[in-house]
Amino acid sequence: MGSRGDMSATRAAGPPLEAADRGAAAVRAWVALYTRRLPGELAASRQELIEADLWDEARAAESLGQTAGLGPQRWGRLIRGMPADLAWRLEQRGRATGAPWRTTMRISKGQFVAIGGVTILYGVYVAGLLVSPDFRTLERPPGVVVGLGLSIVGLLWAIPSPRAGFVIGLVGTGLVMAGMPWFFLGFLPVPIVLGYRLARDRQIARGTAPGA
Amino acid sequence: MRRKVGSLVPLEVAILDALVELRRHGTAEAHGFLIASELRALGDDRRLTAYGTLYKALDRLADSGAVDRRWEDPEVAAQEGRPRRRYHRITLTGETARAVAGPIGRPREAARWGAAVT
Repeated sequence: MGSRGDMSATRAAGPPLEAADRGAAAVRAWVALYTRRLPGELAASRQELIEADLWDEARAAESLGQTAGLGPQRWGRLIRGMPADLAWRLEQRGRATGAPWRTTMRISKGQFVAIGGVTILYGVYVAGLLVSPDFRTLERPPGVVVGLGLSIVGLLWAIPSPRAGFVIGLVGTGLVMAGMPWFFLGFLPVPIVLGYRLARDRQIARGTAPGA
Repeated sequence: MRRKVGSLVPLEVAILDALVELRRHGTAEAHGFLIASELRALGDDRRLTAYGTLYKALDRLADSGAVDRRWEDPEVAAQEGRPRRRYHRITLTGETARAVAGPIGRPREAARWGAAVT
């Protein structure tokens, strides 16, 4: 059952199995995203590390005759590792900028609740679109769905980059508000939380944040 | 939840176990995927450790001195037609830390090993 010894090194290098593999492409895209704006050498090192892992993973799958499961395996490893990747990025950004990384990665309870709440609302909405014929007949401009998605992206993006997250979240909330004003109430936490986050970040940058 | 300085989480203990086991079988240094494979072989989980989780844990072990790591000679990798690997080796500090940590499997309990690294 084990894989002791360097089985991948003993195998001759074959043609790249994963060139068109969407799992590998997703992993590379994700690594490129979370290493963005990190010091060049650090980002390159991380990308090289993951590239080597992908290569060894592919060779191991080939040697075991398990290439069919390689794609799902990669997606699983990618998704399960995302929180650690984000934490790593925040830590490295903190080191690079000289700011204490725990300050930059602090997530308030309000943010957590807002992210969870919006995600649930979005999930209910999408599920409703999928299963309910009545719900489908509701009048809704297409921008609403995009706005809902942008609101969530903005909230998540605000954790590593408050300014970009704030802008994305505002655009998303604006789209929702324009399309379905009654639905906007559920999204009030988005601008509130993102605005707070942005202001807090500026205070930290100026050294005027209470307790910073 | 904040981590205590000088503590090992179960994954880090498992990584040290994997490195010891690999060394016992003649592989003194191991690259990331090999460690992930060994973790799967030694543990109950049939899945490979996630990319982010694995390399973040390895970073932490290296920062604390429990693991030494080095990049492979690029020429060797080029000759074999593959990306360059980073190899990891357990240190004496790591072995001491592993011994202090005791058996893994205690949920949510990080074994203290501050004395071993200071």
